[in-house]
Amino acid sequence: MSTAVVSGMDGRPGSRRLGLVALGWCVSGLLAVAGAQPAAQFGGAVDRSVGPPQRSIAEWLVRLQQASRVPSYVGTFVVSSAAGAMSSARIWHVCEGDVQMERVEALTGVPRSTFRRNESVVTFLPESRVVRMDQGETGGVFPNLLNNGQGFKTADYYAANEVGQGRVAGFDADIVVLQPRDDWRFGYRIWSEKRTGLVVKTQTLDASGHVLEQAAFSELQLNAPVQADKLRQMMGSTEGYRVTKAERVRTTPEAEGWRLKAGVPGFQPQSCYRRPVSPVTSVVQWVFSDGLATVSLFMQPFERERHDREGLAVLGATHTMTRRVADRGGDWWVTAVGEVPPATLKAFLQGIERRP
Amino acid sequence: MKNQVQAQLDRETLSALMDGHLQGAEAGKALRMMDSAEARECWQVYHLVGDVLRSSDLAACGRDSAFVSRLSARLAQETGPVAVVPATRPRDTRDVARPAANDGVFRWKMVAGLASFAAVAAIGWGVMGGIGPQPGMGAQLAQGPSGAPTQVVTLMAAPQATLATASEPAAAVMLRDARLDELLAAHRQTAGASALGNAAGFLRNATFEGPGR
Repeated sequence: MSTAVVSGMDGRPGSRRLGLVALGWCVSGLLAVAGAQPAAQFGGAVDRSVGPPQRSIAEWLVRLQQASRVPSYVGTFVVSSAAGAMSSARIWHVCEGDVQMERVEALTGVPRSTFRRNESVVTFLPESRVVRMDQGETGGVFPNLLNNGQGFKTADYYAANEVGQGRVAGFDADIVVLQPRDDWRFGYRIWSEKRTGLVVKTQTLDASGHVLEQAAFSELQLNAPVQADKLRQMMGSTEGYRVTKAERVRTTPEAEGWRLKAGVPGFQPQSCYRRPVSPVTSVVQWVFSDGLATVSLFMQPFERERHDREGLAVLGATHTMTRRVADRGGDWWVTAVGEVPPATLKAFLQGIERRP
Repeated sequence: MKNQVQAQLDRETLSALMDGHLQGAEAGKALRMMDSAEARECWQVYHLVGDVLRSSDLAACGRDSAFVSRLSARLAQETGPVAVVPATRPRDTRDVARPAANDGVFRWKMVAGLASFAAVAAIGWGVMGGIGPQPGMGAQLAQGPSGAPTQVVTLMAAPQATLATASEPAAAVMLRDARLDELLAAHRQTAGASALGNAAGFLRNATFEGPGR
């Protein structure tokens, strides 16, 4: 705890310095605008006399994703849902070259520390002395960035509107709203730190603009001394813990006998895994994404005594919907999970079927 | 020669001790090592380095060691009532080590705990009209406490939605079951990589395990 207090105190001079930098940047921007008057008049930018021109949705997506390259930071991260649930964690982040590392120490709920080294995630549960390991498969640091240029047409399904400036955790931030162009997805209001682009706060918005869930740094120290070696060492010290590995096997929907007769606009199939849920049964997970939101479809054999309720569950912005799918060879229990409106999950559940 | 090796060892262990990486016997050994003036000086310098890295304003603290040695000298002189000293001293040190901020953290956790509980109560199940082949099956809708958020209820505004009063009232509010948790966790593992860049999605998911986990 004492570290939180100390960094909270000495975070202030840093932010003041940053404020000066931002001020200088604004002044230079003002000069640039004054020098380029015709440009400023173009498009009648009345309410934006100061600052750079609006970034396009594509520029914003690239900027937000590149921001995870910030060399290092330490902060306290708070996530809250419209239903009132609130979680917080202490975060250490470091990026050296192609390697991104993070340590997330949960401050609420069951004590746990999660470490990430690029796609590998290790979660320590000190109370049960269990370590969960998950080796991701998506290679590279920015798989999503590449995807945006290729498979995903995220920019076709969202529009970016810069709506002003704000201050989060002591840092000045640009506020941008990623507005969905249809009703199949939620919107996002994002606070992006002015200098680095780092996402310091996000809100997930439903169609009427209500906040379903928000996440923000309550305190942040950019370029704090974080040693990747230390994190790597901590991530590897599993002595005294029982190690469990996420045994997921890559597969294809075709091989598992599934297909989507009608998809949801913008959502592209991403990957398909099979993972055991008990010694005898396993579940197939088929993942879809539009670049921002993700939907997982879980298919498992129907069991009368366990699968008794079709329906919808809500947890923050994450919705869950279940449906029983009839099949000659035995029925199936399909669960759709995603940070999307219920109608989207419903469309997925109605679109999924067994291959003949 | 031996001294040098010893000194080498000291620094690494000392650094690990500072970072809180030592536990049990290792920590005990390291603490015993702190008896030497050299180790204490090293400790001082390492902290100073850390402070300066965090803020240059903290560079001007040269009197720490003098203060510590004066304090130890005074402590050694203390011959006062033996019974009082142990009773007050541990308390003082704790107060110094954990300022009032700690208090706040505890209260914060209490509040967060209550909020989590409220959220658990609010998570319910309902039937989306027209979904699934058997309309009679599981036609139950979560009826949260009166103060519970209305997310579920508003979604139920679909025309065909039947607000069946649960046949077993106790089951109407369904706490999250372990199987759904497993699926949520699996979804989060894969979703972490795509929402707003790796880091943001991962942070959200690692932080927001949701209530009851």
